[in-house]
Amino acid sequence: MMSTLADIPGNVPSRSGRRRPTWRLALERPTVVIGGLTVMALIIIAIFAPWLVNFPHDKFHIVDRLLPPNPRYWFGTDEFGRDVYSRVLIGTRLSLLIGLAATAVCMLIGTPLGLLVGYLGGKIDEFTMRALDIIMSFPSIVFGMLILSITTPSATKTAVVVGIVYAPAIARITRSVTLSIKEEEYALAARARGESHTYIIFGEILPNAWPPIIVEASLRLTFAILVAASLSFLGFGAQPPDTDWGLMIADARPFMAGSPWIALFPGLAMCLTVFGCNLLGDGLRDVLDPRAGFSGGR
Amino acid sequence: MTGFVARRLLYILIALWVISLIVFSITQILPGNVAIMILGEHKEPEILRALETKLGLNDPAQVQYMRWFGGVLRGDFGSSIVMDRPVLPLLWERLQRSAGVAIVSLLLTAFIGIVLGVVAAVRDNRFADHFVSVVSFLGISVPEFFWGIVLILLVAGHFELLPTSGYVELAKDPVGWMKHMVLPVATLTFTLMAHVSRLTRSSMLDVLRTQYVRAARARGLPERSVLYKHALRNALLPTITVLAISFGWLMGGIVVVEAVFAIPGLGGLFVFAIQQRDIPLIQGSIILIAASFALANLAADLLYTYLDPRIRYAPA
Repeated sequence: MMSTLADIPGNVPSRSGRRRPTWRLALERPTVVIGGLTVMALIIIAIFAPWLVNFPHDKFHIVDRLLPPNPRYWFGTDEFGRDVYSRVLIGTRLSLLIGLAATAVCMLIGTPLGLLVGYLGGKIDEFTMRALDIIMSFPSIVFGMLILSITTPSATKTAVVVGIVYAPAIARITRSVTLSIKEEEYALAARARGESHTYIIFGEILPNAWPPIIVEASLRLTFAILVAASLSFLGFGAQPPDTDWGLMIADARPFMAGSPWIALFPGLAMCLTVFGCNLLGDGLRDVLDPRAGFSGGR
Repeated sequence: MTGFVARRLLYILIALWVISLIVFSITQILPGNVAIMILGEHKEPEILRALETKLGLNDPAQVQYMRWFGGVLRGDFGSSIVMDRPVLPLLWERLQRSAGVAIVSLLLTAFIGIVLGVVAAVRDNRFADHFVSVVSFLGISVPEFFWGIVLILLVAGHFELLPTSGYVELAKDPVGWMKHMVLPVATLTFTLMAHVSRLTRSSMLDVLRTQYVRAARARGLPERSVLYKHALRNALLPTITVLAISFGWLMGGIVVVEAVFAIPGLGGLFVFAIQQRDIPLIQGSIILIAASFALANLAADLLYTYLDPRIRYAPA
């Protein structure tokens, strides 16, 4: 295949001949801008939700139950007369928080593990990867439910469990980058200088391994939000009176036919979130890791 | 080839064994024991103790594991506590229903995904391509349960065309079965096909740029034959991998979709087992789910060799 360096989006030299900084390249992509703005808006909503709501999210207005959207209740009310708009906003907090926390957990476990086994290589590497294959050969929802069955469900536990379930994917990608970086000249040079293993791993390899790890993490974020929502939907996530979108939709099911707005608005909020994260992740992948193919696995 | 299959089967068995260990350890930590579940919380301690001894709950964990695993090897998964029935026939009955949903969805996903991917690649950067991208994006952006509910609302609730939930046995009423399948299958297909279409599109684009496709065009072969005989066959290899991975997602999706559409399948049984903390049922369903996934991966590998004669698995 004919391809030069200039074909790769990340390496386009600017007119002055110098390589433009990555963030500039990123900001030139509409996907990154639209996705980034969406995600930022959602984070702001999540942070300021308690001040943005029209009513406390768990306040009953029994007289006004199951009302369609109207000027007083923008997204309508549910079977207890709770304001759906306020609940969607409050739900944003938990849904985003679970997604972000899960991604943080899977990076905290996956990155060091991948670095370590990739760097050490040999039997340990072989054994760990086989073990991770086994964990990954399992539908994540099923695995998550199995772990969650041990304890009483709560949002924190859901986040940790989703993080554990996705850690092997991060470990795998980190390992494969580590394998190639440790043969690079600068890594070999560090070894020849007699640097410590810790320094080589964290000082030389890690800083150069970030781009694909970040791309993978952005994918995991969307999957984490979706899986956490599904777990909540099945009753293994947020517990009342707390709420997230998955739980809201689950609660709304008996009233779907007559009052679809109760489920529709949290669903749309979730669409928007995942859509934004996906756009951002796709754009980042193009910029940071142009040759990356399909990676994934819910 | 036989050596390859044998090696893979051995690997699957080892993986299943490890999973059985994990499942057993996790279910050991579950609060409450089987005796309390059978008798209820408020039985006299003596009766409770007697049942515990009878069920061997006071034996060390490894003895209990060996007893359970020995049973599994002989095809005896124990009895469900809540339903008071042997686990294996129960699982088998549920598996058949879920397999129906899974197979139809997977075939549809493969077909629609590949067609959309090819269309998007051929019409690269034109309207059809962008249209396929948007549809794919919508599919991945929303969890199965939300699409399921929206479909219920639109198709069944509003127009009253199709049943919104429940299940009819295929053997008893094929037409009713098909009607009940439409919405769950549509939900799963819509959420899964994006992965297939995106990958098919990109590998098709790669293949269309190769020399042999140009050569085929230069020889004046009809475009249809270039696309389907020369390009698609080579572009399909990565698609098959993603289909095998999709099978894993499909099984996760089935758990959710069966809950949404109230289909009494394996996924629904698993949710029920976990909610009721029915330990033998949890153990059995996990092993079964893991086994079907492993076999699906093996099938994908075999399909690979069939499609691409260049791949030869070295004998062990």
